[in-house]
Amino acid sequence: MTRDELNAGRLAEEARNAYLQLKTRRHFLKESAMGLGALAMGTLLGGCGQSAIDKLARHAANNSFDPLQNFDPAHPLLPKAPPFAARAKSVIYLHMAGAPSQLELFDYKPELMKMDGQDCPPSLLAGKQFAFITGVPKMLGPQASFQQRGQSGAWISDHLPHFANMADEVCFLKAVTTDQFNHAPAQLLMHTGSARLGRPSMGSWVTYGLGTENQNLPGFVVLTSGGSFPDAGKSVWGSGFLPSVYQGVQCRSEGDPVLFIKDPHGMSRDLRKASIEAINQANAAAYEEYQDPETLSRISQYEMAYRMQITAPDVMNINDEPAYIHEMYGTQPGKSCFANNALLARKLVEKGVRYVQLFDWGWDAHGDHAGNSLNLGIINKYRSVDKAMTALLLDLKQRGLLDETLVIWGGEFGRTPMMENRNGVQNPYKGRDHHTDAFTIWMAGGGVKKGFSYGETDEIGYHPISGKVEPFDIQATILHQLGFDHEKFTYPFQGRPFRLTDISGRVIHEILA
Amino acid sequence: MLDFFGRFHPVLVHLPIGFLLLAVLFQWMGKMASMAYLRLSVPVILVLGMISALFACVTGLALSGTAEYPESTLGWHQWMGILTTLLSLGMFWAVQRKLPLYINGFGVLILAGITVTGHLGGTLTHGENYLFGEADAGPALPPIADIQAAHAYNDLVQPIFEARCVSCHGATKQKGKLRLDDPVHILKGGEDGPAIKVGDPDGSELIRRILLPANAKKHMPPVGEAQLLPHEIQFLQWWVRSGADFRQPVNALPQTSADKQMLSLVESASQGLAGDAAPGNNGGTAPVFPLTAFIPNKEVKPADPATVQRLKAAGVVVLPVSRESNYLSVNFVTAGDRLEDSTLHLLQGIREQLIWLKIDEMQISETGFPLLGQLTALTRLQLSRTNLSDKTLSELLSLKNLQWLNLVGSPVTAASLVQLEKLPELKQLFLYQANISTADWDALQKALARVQIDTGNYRLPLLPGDTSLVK
Repeated sequence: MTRDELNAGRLAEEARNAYLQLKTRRHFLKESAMGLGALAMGTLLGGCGQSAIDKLARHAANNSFDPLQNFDPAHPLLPKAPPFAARAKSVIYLHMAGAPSQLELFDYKPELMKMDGQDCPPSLLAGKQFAFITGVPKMLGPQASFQQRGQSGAWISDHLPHFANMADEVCFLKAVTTDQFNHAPAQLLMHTGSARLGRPSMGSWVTYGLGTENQNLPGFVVLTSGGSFPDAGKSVWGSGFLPSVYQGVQCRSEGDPVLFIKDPHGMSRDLRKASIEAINQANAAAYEEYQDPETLSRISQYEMAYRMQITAPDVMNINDEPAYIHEMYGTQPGKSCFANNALLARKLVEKGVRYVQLFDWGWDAHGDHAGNSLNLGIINKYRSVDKAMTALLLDLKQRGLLDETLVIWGGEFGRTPMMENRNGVQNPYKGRDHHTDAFTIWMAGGGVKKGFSYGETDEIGYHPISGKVEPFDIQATILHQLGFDHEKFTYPFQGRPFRLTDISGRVIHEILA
Repeated sequence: MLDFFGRFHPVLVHLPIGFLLLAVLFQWMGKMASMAYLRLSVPVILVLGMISALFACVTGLALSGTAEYPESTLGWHQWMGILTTLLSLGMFWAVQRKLPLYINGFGVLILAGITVTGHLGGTLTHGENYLFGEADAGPALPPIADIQAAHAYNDLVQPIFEARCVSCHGATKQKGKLRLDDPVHILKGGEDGPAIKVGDPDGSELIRRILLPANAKKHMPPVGEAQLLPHEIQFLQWWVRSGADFRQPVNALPQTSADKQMLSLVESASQGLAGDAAPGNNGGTAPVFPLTAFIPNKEVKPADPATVQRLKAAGVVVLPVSRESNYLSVNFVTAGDRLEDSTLHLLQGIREQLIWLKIDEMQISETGFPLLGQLTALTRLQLSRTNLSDKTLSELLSLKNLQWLNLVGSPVTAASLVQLEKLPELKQLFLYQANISTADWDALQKALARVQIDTGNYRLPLLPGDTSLVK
């Protein structure tokens, strides 16, 4: 027996086993449990891997807006018109993971300076719980000097010398509040609408509802920098109970933009294409036989992966950009950094990517070591994003993209006006603890007012006194700008319709142009 | 103290609603022999209903004095509430006397009374249109052809007051002793003093009331009434700031450049060109044009599905601008690097619906540009990094609805760009990486005075902090 004959024999045996497997009791029971209900109402099913009941429920709940209504499992990311006219087509969300201090950047509090070094008044501590502060901490004045900028007169500190010139382009939300004081739940709340795991992220909702215009690129791209993932891990761009094709695709600005996008060593592009075609033929045959729509999804994923092989390296290669663009962003080609990701975000949006999510890790300014001290390590964080985020806004603007791209910048919570005293002992460096009640987020483009501030905090930046908004309100506003009514955009799961904003959320009309 | 009791009205009203409905229900269900025992409880429930209705009336009267509710609705709600209370007394009487005809009659009347009173109460708290959805406030202004030539008071201020204020502050009714139907009364003010302080919109009671949060007690117009649109408010603010003049046309009054922008947007809003183009409060910077401002208000018939299908087959992204609109946006992002004339011919089939077109990094033939020029419904056109040249630019001058033009990376010079003044609606022009130099700037600015031009090429200085770390 030659080796070829041996291999052929093995293949034949494998095929026979696979065929027999289909006739086993276990296979029958597994498929029946999932498939019988669907079979019963097969005519209503229309080929999207959900039960007919769910589909009807979804249809009723969505008030005639149903992204899956004409769902083509072979092209799950085909673009769809928004339910009502949108003010933004794309989103770039710049998340500073670890939570930057509003008191050193945007929320100018001269009164807090006067209290610097004094014991914290008991009224601020009564009934409060902090992540680390125990006993009576000292107050900590702003570790920055502030100036009013632009015609709008927004306060921006000297830590952001480049961004200070953008005061008239952006809209500040200065009284954002959350109810989660640990990083992971707060990040989940900000991006998935729930502090617990398992809900779809905002980017997943958006690509589920709108698809994406460029079928050769993912609709929802995630870029990370700062040396670590956000504390909430990959769940923060997960698809939860939505079909998994809507989860964020993590790309990199260092090495291959997408892992395994290069042809394996010694394999030519033609061979790759031929093998994908062969796999798809086999899958098509399987679909002919079993009519499982998931098979079509699988085929489409292979096809998209192949198209991405051709398109993505081009779009995701920032090295082709002219030198002055690199200078403007302050990129460090070949490395992984926020500036590279910001430039990449612009390139992606320019090519029709729907939702680009950046995470920059390392903003957790506790002051328990030099690296996260407000006067040392955190200053380097300011420097690492200041120029790049300014350049991103200007670059979008000059290309005519800013009016259709909504840019959001912020963290998951704010920082205390008190200096952190971990375990009751003053920290060695200047730092602040996690603070849920008040922090600042800014938005730009995408039909949001320019040179505008909404919300105010008290004289030490501890509590909102007007214009308080929650993560749900921000989510409702983002969905609104993209053309959704956040209350009607639902997905039925486990017997009830779910939405990104769950049972809350108010569109912040005050900031809309 | 009275205020405090009044606040219990929203809680208490639900008790008589429940009790009285239950009484009528039990009375009628009790007609069935098997449920006759239900009737035994009817008098008790009716008494409870009457008592709670009485409390609801008292707290309601206390509440009515504390906030500005539309008077006529309030009156009807009040009297219908009292009537329903009396009806429950009537039904109690009929039940005690066992008069079937009267019992049924009072039952029906109570149901009607509860429904009407409840609806009126809902109208008071949630506004006129809460039941069937919010109908937007109609425009206050008639179409204004040239706002600068319009009369500031007669053509603008008075129509706004007429539409939004005079029904309560006019000749027939003077709430708060204020009349806004003629200059004399406007200047005189109301019981809280002058309505306007000339030159100081922030110090003017009228403007202050309009700007209060919608749920504030003193906000005007009151809950449920047609509210002022943002551009109407901004116009009034400017009018007060510029001296609250009753005699002169707009162009005779002082205007900053931001005011001019605002005024031209009031003009286009009055013409109904773009419902959303009303300027936001932008803190004095350039106005924001949201995407929705680029959708015509006029309806259009649906596009030919076969043409759309053929375009899609060619890799072109064709999408309605929203589910509720027949207007289309087209994007060539995945349609290769050559734009064939055959595709452009296909676009002619949807030229009535096609309002947004995006062409980036593509080559277009000499004969293709005239075809682009025929897509006259376009309001937004992106022709970035194409081979558009000085020669072919003139083909675009027929796009009379174009408001937004993106020519980033196109080798066009200022000499031909000045022709764009022939585009009557053009508001924004992007010329980054076009073939122009700083010397051309003046000529461009002059020729396209109405247009926001962005030539891009932004640079950021290199600051010490950009390249150093703190240790």
